[in-house]
Amino acid sequence: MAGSGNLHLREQEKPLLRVEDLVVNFLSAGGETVQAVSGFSIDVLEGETLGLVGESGCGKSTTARAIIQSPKPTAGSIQLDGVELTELDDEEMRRTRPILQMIFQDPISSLNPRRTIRDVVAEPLYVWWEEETGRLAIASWFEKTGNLFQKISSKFSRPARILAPLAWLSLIFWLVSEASDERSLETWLSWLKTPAQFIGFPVLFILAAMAAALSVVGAVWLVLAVILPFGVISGKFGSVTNTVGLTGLFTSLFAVVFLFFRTWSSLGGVAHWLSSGILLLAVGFLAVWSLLACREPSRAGSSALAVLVFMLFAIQVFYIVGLDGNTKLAVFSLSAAVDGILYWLIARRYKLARAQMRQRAEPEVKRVLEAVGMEVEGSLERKPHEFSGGQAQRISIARALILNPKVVICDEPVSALDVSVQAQILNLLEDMKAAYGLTLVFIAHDLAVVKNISDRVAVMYLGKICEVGPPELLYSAPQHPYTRLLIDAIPRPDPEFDQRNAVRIEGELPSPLAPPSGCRFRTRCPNVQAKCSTEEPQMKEVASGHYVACHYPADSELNQ
Amino acid sequence: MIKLKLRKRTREVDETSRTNNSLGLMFWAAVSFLAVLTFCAIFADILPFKNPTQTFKGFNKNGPSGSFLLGNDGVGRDILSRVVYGAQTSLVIAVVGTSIALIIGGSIGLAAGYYRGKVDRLLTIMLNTTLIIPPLILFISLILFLDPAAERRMFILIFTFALLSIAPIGRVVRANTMAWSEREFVLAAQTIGARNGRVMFREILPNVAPSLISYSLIVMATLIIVEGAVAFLGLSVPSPTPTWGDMINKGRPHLDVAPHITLMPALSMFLTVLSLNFIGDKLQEKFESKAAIL
Amino acid sequence: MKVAEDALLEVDNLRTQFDTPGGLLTAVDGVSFSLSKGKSLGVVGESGSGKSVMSRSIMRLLPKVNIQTEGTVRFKSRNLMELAPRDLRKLWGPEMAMIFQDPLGSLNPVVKVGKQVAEGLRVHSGFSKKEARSEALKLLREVGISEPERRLDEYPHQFSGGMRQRIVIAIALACQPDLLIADEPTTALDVTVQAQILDLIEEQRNQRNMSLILVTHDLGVVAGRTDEIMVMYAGRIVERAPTKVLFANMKMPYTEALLESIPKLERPSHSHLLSIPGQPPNMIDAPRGCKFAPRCKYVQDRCVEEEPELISAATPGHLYRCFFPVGSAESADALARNMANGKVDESGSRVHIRT
Ligand SMILES: Nc1ncnc2c1ncn2[C@@H]1O[C@H](COP(=O)(O)OP(=O)(O)OP(=O)(O)O)[C@@H](O)[C@H]1O
Ligand code: SF4
Ligand code: SF4
Ligand SMILES: [Mg+2]
Repeated sequence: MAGSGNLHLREQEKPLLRVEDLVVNFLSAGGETVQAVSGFSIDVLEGETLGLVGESGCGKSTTARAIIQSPKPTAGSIQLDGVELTELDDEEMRRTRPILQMIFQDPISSLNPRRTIRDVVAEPLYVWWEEETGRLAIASWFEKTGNLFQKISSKFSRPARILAPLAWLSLIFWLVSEASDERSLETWLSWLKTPAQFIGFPVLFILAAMAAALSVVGAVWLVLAVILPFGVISGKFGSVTNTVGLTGLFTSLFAVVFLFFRTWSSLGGVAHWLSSGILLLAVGFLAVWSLLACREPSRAGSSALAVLVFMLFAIQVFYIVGLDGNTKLAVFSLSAAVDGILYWLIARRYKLARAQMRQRAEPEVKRVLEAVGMEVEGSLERKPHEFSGGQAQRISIARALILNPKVVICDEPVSALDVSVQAQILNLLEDMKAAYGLTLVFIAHDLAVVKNISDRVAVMYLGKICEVGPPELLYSAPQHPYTRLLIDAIPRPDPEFDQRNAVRIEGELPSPLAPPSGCRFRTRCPNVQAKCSTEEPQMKEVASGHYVACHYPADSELNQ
Repeated sequence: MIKLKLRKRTREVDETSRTNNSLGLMFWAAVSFLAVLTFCAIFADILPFKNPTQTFKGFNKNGPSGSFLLGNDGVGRDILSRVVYGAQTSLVIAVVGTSIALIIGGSIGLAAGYYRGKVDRLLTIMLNTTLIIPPLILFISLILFLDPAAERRMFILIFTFALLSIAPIGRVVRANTMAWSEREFVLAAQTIGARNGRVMFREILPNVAPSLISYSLIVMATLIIVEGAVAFLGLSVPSPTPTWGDMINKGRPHLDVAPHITLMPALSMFLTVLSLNFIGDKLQEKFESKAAIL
Repeated sequence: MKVAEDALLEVDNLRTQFDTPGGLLTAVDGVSFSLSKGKSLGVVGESGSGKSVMSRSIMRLLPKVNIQTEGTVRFKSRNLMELAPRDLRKLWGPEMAMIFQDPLGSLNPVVKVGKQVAEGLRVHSGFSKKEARSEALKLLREVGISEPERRLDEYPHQFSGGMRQRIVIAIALACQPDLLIADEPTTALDVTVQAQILDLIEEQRNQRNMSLILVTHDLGVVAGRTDEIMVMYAGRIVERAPTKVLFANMKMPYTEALLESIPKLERPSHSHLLSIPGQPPNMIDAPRGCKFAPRCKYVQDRCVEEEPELISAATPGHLYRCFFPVGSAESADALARNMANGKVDESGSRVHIRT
């Protein structure tokens, strides 16, 4: 094995997934190269199930992960539906991911322990929905407050362009005046403090908090006016988005310079320097986000609120630090209250959107969960650890299916399960494949399991393919000595089968740091000859559709 | 069917009662103590506390009495109100210092643990550089250059403390993030097309948060003690603003005749630190046992 | 149960219960069996059927809190249930030893493997440091570790899963136990390594005339290897027979279902597997009648009403717990009725009824 050559690739057909000369090397801790996969080629036709078998450590998982590009392979080509995945940039790859899903070996570990099943299964929908509509949170908020969202999105692309710089300007002026006019704040506070002793602090406190909250809400509105166009137009990366983003960027740059000179000329003292520094940072932050917004609308949408909160925080820190002893605490509690209200508002809106998305996702979630044979009633709000391994694996399958993928890569989905549950999952995968028209890559170490589910099986050893063929042929006439040994290793539920006579593979997989020369299997091969250590066997066809990479395959005369 | 539902109900009740029990009475005692202290500190101005800087003639070094619940200090000031106002200083320094460290150190740790490789190396170097500065020297030189007149001492304190807490917090987050990133649900989130930010904040952070919270509480407790030590050197917020460390320091000469002057602030500091540590430990324990079932 | 004369281990009416927040969970319920010297017993069942708790109960290796154990476990005529922890500890190692599923978990990550193998020898056999080391060397060689001289001084993480399990076996064998309990020793391993490890256990058992309890969820693992097989479900023994008898004349529908859910190489690919629908019952308050009834394809009204006893089949030593044993006229009848009323589909699988 350790076979090279791509004879087994079906050139005349158009495969859905085509992997050619895949190489994955890792850098080991000692700085050496781990040759996990070395020249692996395979193709999978639409609707076909490819089985991949091999020992632990032979590179099955590495191959699977290279196919989904995390991490990207060292070399080689991977084509999905004619698209070369290795040439996609991160963003393009991310957009391709929905059609290429994966199921993992450890069912429990592949579900986030802190999520409910509802959210675990619906998460793929959330990810793409949020992207689709900008921020659903903001959308729903605007919907609520007079359908501004609709209005502006439909025709106000030009006003948006004017609105954006205006919004930026007013925001920045607001910030600057708040930040630099310390005296006015102190007057305000003294006003707050003196009557507090007479009328009662709480009343005033609430009033003040409301006033502050209002100005904050105003600011949020302004910022949202900026974000809005991004969110609205996110579907089409139109020129409006870019315009808005760039105006935002220039305005904030302008503001930075403005702020800088103003601070420099009128203020002194370390705290003021530092506070201006913080403000500069905050504004710079906004600028960066605007820049990003040009490329990625929803990212700016989701982050602008965070930036706003961050700026408020910075201002607060500055005030609190700069004030004298007693006012400090008053301001501290005041701003804490304001923050509280603000966070609460944001959280509410956010929650609302979550709730909406949950509602929207519910039929889908129920559909896939039912499809994988889960009881929907009562399981939606439960956490992964409350389920058995088999159930958790069903949930994983449901999650993979919810995006309607074309190809699903199953990395040992049944190895951690009991035989009875294994049978359930294997049947389920077959059913799902039929129902959703899936193409599967099924990885396992047990040839009997692989044979049961596959249309074509590839046997892998130390990063290379030994033998490829239809499962029946592979079983009835295994050509590669390694395949033979794999077959013998399968535990037979048959007391007449004498396990003691079965040929056993000796020793361990050699280290992928220094794979053997020639045929990689030669160190453990019962048929090894001199030629095997010098010459690497090439793929050759032994029967129709049955390929082997061995100098002395079982049926060859030399072997006899 | 009905029976099944009933059983589920009782089970839930059992579980909640068990979680409460497992935290224990001491935990809630610690929480209440901190809650009362924080409340008093925030609303000290409106609550009926005496002026912490007012000296009451003739009450010098008096022990606890009806009108001065914790007694008076060397110059006759009310120790109770000084302890409460001292708590303001200690809590503000501890909470703000830890929060800043949490935000910065937490983000650095999260990014380093998630991206690994070059990002990790760079960020780790950043974290480590904050550790090579000797803390006291940093602190004293900051004072010398920026705040010789002790006008902005609070700011300098918070800045130094935050800077010093960034690395420990960053490391804890980094290690935790690395461990959680190994889990397959992180890869699963990537395969559905989630962006890195989303994976970090929505998938990993909620899992890292519990241990992070308990660790921050312990950092907070440490900061309170360090503030005390700094005050002992006379470098903390200057008089007459009360701080616990300063009160302990000032009470020292009277230790033989009026030990309560030292004892009361020391006791408050002790109880606060103990409570924070205790809560941190308990939470850690609880999260760990929960993580074990996960 | 009749006790064999040369029995090494006799378990009588063993019952283990856990006090959980949801109620009393019966993990092992009235298990009785005996094992002769030099014989091997395979224990088969799904996860959650009580196999591991049973083997730990026999070893008395369960945690102390919230657990109630009843019944007797006689090992060489001594009742283990009455032994003090000190005496038990003397037993573990030289008399009985256990191997677990997760080899990494049962090794100390910071101690060199040589030392871990030698430790038992030093404690129980009073070997000197040097003797223990040379004995450990011999053991490692016996369990098939190449270059044992070098590997003695390595740490567990430097070994692959299969090699780790070999080391665990070496530790277990060090003090020449008379009974080895292997709890899913190969579940975490791939098939090729599994075959190697099973061969190794088998070979060592023969050499040392040791008794073996091999716990697994896969009938294929024990089929050609153990003298007898005991199938467990819901904490109970549901079938027990000498291996050949069991496969030739299976009585228990559960055993049959377990066997059918294994993918067989001889079958063409894409053949539908007869899986067992649903899950094992909740052991806090399990259903009244036969515990397998909700998943059984032969189920009749009677099964839901009363629980079958463990009864003897015609062949000596063959016990089962079913009213409609596989292969009988009654069962064929029952199946036909179930097919007619839709409980079983055309492919012969029980239809899962959602509750
Ligand atoms: N990140 C990594 N850094 C270094 N080496 C790695 C890394 N990931 C995998 N390897 C090595 O690559 C080889 C192939 O590993 P891989 O996980 O693909 O095997 P596998 O066939 O999936 O095994 P299993 O059956 O245990 O899942 C192994 O030698 C492994 O140690
Ligand atoms: S016979 Fe030679 S080429 Fe074929 S598998 Fe064995 S070592 Fe490799
Ligand atoms: S007693 Fe009835 S339900 Fe139980 S196994 Fe036998 S046939 Fe099935
Ligand atoms: Mg793998």
